[in-house]
Amino acid sequence: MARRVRSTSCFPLELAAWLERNHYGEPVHATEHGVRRRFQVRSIEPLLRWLLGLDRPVRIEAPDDVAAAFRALSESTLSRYADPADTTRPGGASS
Amino acid sequence: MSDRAADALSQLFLLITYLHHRDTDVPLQDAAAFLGCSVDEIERLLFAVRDRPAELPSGYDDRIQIDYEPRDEDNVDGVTVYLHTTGPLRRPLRFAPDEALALAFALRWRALADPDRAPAWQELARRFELLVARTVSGDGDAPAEGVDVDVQPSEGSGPILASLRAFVEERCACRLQYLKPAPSAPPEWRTVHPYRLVHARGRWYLIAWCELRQDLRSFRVDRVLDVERTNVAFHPPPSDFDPHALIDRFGRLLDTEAPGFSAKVRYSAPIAQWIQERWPAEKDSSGAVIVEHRVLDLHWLVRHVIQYGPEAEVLEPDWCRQLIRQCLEFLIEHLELAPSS
Repeated sequence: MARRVRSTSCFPLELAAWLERNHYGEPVHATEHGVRRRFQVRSIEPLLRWLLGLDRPVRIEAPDDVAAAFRALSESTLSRYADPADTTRPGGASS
Repeated sequence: MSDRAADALSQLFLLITYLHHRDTDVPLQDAAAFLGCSVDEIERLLFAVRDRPAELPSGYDDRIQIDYEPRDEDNVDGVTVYLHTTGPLRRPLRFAPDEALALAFALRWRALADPDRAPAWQELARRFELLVARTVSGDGDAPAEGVDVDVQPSEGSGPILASLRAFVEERCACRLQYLKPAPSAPPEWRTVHPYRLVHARGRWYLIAWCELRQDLRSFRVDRVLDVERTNVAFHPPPSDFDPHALIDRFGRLLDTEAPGFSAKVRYSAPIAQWIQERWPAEKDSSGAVIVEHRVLDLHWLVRHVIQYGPEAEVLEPDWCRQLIRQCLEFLIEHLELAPSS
């Protein structure tokens, strides 16, 4: 069974109460810029998609490889919108 | 423990349910004692769960997580397992008509094979048959497909849900501290008159009269941060109020606020199967699917699409594509990372 990955992210302050109320991650501490939460996951992909889907400026602070993966996911998603949509393209988003 | 797959599956259901209800680190030996098997066999079941995610659609593998550190060679003492779920085991069970029909058949068959307990099996079968009949006949009194209205909250649903349910039953106006979905919007307090709790698409919603909007509104319960009683006189629901009318046949809650717009989204083949279970979709030759969403909340569409990363893409309208691009550029600007290689 895969080892857990521990990752720390910084969220906007307005999400602090929502994260706490729904037990998303464990609280680390808050700063004047945001609130830190620590996550322990077996697989980082769902975590990254969840973070991206929040549509809020979230910063992954550690570890570096998870932060880099988050940037890569964000940029590959953005690349879908670089050009006008090709509605005739077979295979869609993953082709 | 039997080697038959059906028996292993049965044991797995028992183990998952047991771990979920314990809601704490459980020594492997306790789990083994509960199932009447060895620690080795418990590990084998856990490994079966571990091997499953690769076969699941995107997003499903994080719904149930099992935290477990493999034991040392000769030391099983102190090795524990903890099961975390984001909600699938908490929400009421929902069945599509074909699933309910299959279960009804199975239960009738079981009743024939088990005469001693036939009445119990038949009663269960009757409930599923009723569900199928109502769904197929379009009985106006029946819940919409895949939707439960006013289901008793399960244990662990939280004090907010329990409070809201009490206010609904007492017909008591209340104040909600609500986190709106709009980016950067701070939580705000709303005075509402709660009418019904609805469970749709895996989430609880409160349908209430909103004093601010002077209209019916739905509130996602997980976004309610606090709730308190008020002395405001209760605004009763209109005589023709029908919560089922606010839910479409795919179990989506229909907002009453805006006329909305239509958006086409393409989902890639790896997640197509999951998407098809949720929305009517048009499949292309590559296995990708296109769904035309009726969108009432633009922020919902943005969050919904980008959560799939590059596996989902808004095709139309173009202004929506531009908006999503701007959102992603904004998010990337705030990553504060060294440029990727």
